[in-house]
Amino acid sequence: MSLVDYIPGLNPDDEATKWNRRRSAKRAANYVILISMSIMYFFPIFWMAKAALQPRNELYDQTVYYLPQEITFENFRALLVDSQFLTFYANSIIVALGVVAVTIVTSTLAGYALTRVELPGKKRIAQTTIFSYMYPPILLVMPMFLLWYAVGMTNTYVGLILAQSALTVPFSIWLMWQFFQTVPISLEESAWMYGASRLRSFFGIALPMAKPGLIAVAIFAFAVSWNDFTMANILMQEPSMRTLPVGVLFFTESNAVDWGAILSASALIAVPPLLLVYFLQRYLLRGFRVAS
Amino acid sequence: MSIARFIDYIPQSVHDRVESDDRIIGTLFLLPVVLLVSFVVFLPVVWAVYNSLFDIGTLNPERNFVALGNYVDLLGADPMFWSSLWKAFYFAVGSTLLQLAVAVPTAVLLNKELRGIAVARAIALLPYLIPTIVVGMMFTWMGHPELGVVSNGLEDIGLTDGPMYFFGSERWAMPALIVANSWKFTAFIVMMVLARLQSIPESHYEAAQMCGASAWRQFRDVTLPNIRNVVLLVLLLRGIWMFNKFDIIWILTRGGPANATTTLPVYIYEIAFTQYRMGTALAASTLLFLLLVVAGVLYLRAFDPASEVET
Repeated sequence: MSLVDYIPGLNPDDEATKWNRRRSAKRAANYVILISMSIMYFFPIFWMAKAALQPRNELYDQTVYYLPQEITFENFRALLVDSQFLTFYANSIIVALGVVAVTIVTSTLAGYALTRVELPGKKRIAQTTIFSYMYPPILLVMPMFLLWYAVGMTNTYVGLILAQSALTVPFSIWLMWQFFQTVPISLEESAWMYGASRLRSFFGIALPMAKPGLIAVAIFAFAVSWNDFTMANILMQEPSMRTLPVGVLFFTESNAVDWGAILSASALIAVPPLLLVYFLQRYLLRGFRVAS
Repeated sequence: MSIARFIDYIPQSVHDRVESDDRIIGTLFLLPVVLLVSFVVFLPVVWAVYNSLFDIGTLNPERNFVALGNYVDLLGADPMFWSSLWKAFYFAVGSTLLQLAVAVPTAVLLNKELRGIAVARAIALLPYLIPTIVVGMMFTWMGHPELGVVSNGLEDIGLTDGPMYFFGSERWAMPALIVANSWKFTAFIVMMVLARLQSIPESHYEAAQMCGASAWRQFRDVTLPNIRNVVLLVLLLRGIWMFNKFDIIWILTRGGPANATTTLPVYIYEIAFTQYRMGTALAASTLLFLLLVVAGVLYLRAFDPASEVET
């Protein structure tokens, strides 16, 4: 309204009320769209969680219950007691932790070297690495299967950890590269003054200051590994070595009708990445702000 | 920024001492990545190209050199190759456009200062964190012909009579796949566009309002030029990724029914693991890879992500 007051030749009162009315109508419209949008994004998650808690007879009733009439944990109990679910869960955790370790070590070292150290061919290395982010898993995993098979690395944790690292490392290097650029070099310089070596200033100063970046990389690597179906499906064909995504798909084949178990398994798979991001969102946002 | 620089003058000799180790340290620091990327990216790619010249079985070490025979078979005598290539295009273009069409308005809305916007932002990004297998199971359940909420909901409001087979019908399988896939990946585009929108100064909109620009004019003349580049980048990058998508398609439809959703990546998997013709599968992978290289070179030419990170 302050604007309208200063424009000569207009009746301030009339225009101001009209403007206000139009503005509140627009706000209401915004909220309607915002809420329907949120429902669209949230509904499938709600629907899965609801089904995981519903008893069998409600799930298989032709009438759709939008809210559960009765809540039960029977689906979860059956899943944890009668299936290989826990084995798959353990496999997924082992592989994800391995991928996180490999990714953090390689991308931090490389990110630092690319930012701080003058090296011939540095730019070329960076470009090829970023370019390799574009290789899709299905292309890499075909020849990998032949190679891994030849050296006996199929159905091993190491084999899958290395394979999934191909998906996480390129982006992580780029992220760490960006991150080290935000760490002022002057702190390291003053350490050098006191006789510290390059190695010492890296571990003592640059690394602790890049912690938010490290956490962002760790979450990213964990999420990619946890999510991976394509590589695990081909490289881990032995039932006892399957990770969650592959295990659950086979599980649906043999239990094609047990939707309670399938959806409670799905809910349990979705929990770790959600928890991780919920607790670490502050770090994650800082990491991505640098990247974008 | 560099207070230390004002307090202590750093003699050149200190720099010289530190930088004399740099060649060794730089090499040592880059070595793990170079080794890893060689072993898990370059070696497999080279191996794929080399073995695509042979007739080999998937679990059978014997190989016969057939030169370009696999390629000739694929390009000349395999109608499935061409139809799966076309389906991969259909899936990629459909997914990318749908995601973009939903993501840009979502991002514009999420950029507004409304009450509860933080919650709405979190909800919009949530699907991206849901693992693909879970997305697959959710949508199989929701799309179930007799028990699913979509089929029953449509029947309740009178749009259809009788069960709808979304993932099981030749007509609906591909559109249903595109919807399920886009539900997850729209969040990625929302994130990128939102980040760009937040860097547009408020004063640009204020100036537009002063001139009496309508909401649409503000979008067209202020928002759109600012997000143009990120949208183009997303179109290309996401297009490539969607073109190569395997997991969600395999989980939801296995390429079926009647090959209606057999995209090129799915077909490659089938050649290797149901027909056991690894040589041919690698030839198809190589062709897919060549397509990718062309797209990648265009991408690097247009955007040069490496120059972005130079200080």
